[in-house]
Amino acid sequence: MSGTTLAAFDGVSKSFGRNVALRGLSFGVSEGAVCGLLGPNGSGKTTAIRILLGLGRADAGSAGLLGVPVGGTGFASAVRQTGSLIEGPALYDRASARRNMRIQADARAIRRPDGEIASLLELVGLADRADTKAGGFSMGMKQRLGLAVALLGSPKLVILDEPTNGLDPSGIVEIRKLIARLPESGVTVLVSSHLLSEVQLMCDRVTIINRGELVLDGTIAEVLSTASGEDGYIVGVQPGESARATEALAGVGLKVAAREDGALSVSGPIADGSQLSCVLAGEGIYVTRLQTDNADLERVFLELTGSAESEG
Amino acid sequence: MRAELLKVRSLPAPRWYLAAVFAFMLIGFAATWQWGLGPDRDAFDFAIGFPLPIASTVFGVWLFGVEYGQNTMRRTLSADPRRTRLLLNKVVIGILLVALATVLVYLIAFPLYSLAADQHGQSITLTDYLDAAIVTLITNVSYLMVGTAFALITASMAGGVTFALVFIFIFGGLAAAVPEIYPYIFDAALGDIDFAIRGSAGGFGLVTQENSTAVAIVIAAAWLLGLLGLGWLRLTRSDVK
Repeated sequence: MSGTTLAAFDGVSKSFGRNVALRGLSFGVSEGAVCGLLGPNGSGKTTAIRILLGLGRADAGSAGLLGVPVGGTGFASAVRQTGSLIEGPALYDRASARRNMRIQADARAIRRPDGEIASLLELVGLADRADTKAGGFSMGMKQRLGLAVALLGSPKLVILDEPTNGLDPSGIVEIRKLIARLPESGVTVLVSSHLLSEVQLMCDRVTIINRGELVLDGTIAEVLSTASGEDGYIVGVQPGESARATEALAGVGLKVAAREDGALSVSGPIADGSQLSCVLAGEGIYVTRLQTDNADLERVFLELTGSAESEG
Repeated sequence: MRAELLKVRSLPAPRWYLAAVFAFMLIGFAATWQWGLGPDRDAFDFAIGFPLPIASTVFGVWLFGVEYGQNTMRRTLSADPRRTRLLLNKVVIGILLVALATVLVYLIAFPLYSLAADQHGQSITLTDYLDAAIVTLITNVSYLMVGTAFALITASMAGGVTFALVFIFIFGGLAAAVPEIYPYIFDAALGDIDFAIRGSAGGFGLVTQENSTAVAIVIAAAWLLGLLGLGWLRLTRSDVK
């Protein structure tokens, strides 16, 4: 990593009774990065974020925010320069969208925030609902408002825990684009999400934790390079023809493995998908599914965490 | 502090409390108009001196309880993590609003109840009103702090209301069964302060007359500081959900 580290964990441990949430977790988020924090359910992601913001206390180790030790001198100022959305938007349901933002602006001592509030509501598509009570919003709208609140005051660091929860597909794309643009205005982002494909698209670094321990930390390219196996294709055939298809493909020098969903995972010297289709057609086997199977974050994540669940 | 004021303004609960207080005041006025003040100004004490302290208690719980209930505490503290400052801001806002409501209610009640009492040849002097207002103000502010403390200790709206009301209405009564300790109970201290101001106790507390006014003030303050201290410990030492 290069540049100033805006969020840092150094050997942080935390337990809740007998349940160990974090075990000596160490990693950092450099200035200007969009860093994805991934891990299965209960892996300690939210606990780590809470400790970073001073909402929870570490049993051992230390964390730092904007270069300031959590709880130390200057920590309040560091928190005020950090926007966050943790475990849902946490809004005052009886207050309007505008008033929710006003409350947060006043709490963070932001002077004359009206213009910024208006532009942020515009940014997240809630300008026309600015005076509607937040309690009447859909989950997606609440999430957007939560995101707008997190962006108040031009924060240096934005910490987002599942920011796309409750959003429809177009909303997810919009939020992803919005997050990906934040570094252009000097904002560093730490984002936890269970949508691994979205993380892969919006983040330039990824930190994967499992059972409270760091598993992998690096750029997207570095993380993908750890994936086992080769790029290839997933091939589906009629039930009962898998054995013949495997034999036919292996016969032309390709590696074939059966997948849990009944399809075949094929790798080796393949020019393109039509080559596979041609081989199988020659044996009288018709392809019912053909798609590329490249190394992606999901594959790496599942390999490293051994979990069928993606996130929580 | 302005953020805390905005939260109060945003939510309907304080308005309902105030509406209930004014409703009681009008019922008391109607009763006084019809039947007079009753012995020891009972109609007045009941209609004015009873609902305001209850509303103040619930309002005190609400200051923090609503944050726990709506899970907004994490947002509040991730805007400004200074928890002691948050407690002070909320208590100051609470005290100011409760004091304002108390003054407002007594200002409105004075001409109304004087007029109603006059129908029956009775009168309430301005001194009586002022003494009652001061006692109610002390009670309201004290109960607000009790409510706030229990909301913090239990980190819950429901728990805060339950424990605060039990502390105010049941604990003192139970403690009265043990004469040796009763003079040191919060209830008794407030009763003695009430007596010192009005020469009779029309409020919630029972009068022991064993403590001097200064001692009663010290006992009441010790209880409030102790409860708020426990709440502060819970607030500053606990993880926030």
